[in-house]
Amino acid sequence: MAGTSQQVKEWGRHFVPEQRDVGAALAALSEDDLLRLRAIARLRARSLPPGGMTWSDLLHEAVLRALAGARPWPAGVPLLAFLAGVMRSLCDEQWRRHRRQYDLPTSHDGGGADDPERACAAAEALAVIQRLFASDEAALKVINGLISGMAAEDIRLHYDMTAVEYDTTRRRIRRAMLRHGLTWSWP
Amino acid sequence: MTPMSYPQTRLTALLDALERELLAAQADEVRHAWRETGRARSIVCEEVRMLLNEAIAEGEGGSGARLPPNTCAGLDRLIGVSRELRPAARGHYAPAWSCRRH
Repeated sequence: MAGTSQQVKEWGRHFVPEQRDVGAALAALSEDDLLRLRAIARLRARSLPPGGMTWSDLLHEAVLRALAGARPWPAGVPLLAFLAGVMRSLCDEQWRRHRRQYDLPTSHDGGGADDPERACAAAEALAVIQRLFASDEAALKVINGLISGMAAEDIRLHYDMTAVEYDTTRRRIRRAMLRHGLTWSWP
Repeated sequence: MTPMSYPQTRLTALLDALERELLAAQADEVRHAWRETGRARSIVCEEVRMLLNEAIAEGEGGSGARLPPNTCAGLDRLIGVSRELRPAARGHYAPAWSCRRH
């Protein structure tokens, strides 16, 4: 995927108010950003414990935390990127709550690596996302590269993809993720 | 550092990367994807806006303010989703997380 500097440049296209007024910034979000936010919440909800929060609960709670200042909004970070980070933290928090709720042993690893239930849920979520791209061989290669933690250049070299192939594949992935983030259906 | 062989580590890597893609998506890509869904853009935007407004109202309501456990009951009415389809409505989780200042 794109390098860090490129991401910052791309995020910079979005509205970044000088004042850290979360409420005002939320009210100022464009329709495109609302759709993007929905897709991000639905994506991130894939890593929640089963039978718990929904994507809308996750987004609601993230906004509450941001408004309350429980998660300070760092200067220079676009609102959507900030809320995405809050949602990510909430997912980890939900797993900790889940373990406490069912009196399961506390995970000793921050990422819950020694949590069999979380591992199982993660494997299922990975399979669901891979199925989304089952008919797109190139997309599946990129997805598998990302799953393995590979950088963009590594993925291109590993799968012998040209820069153009890689970029068009990324574009298809983005559109598929947006499409599935905007509809109710997600396999 | 957690090894990449763990499913949750792999899922985190993928979600982080896909999230970056969504954040970086151009406006025309969002619109194109939107057209492909065939859904009414205004309804979905209103759905998200309503969700945000609920949270803003709750956030501004002080510590005593708290929405019902099904925080999106109004949202569901708007978009015609049965409560029975929602995990919370089935009582699958206690909303201990919800609406609390941390």
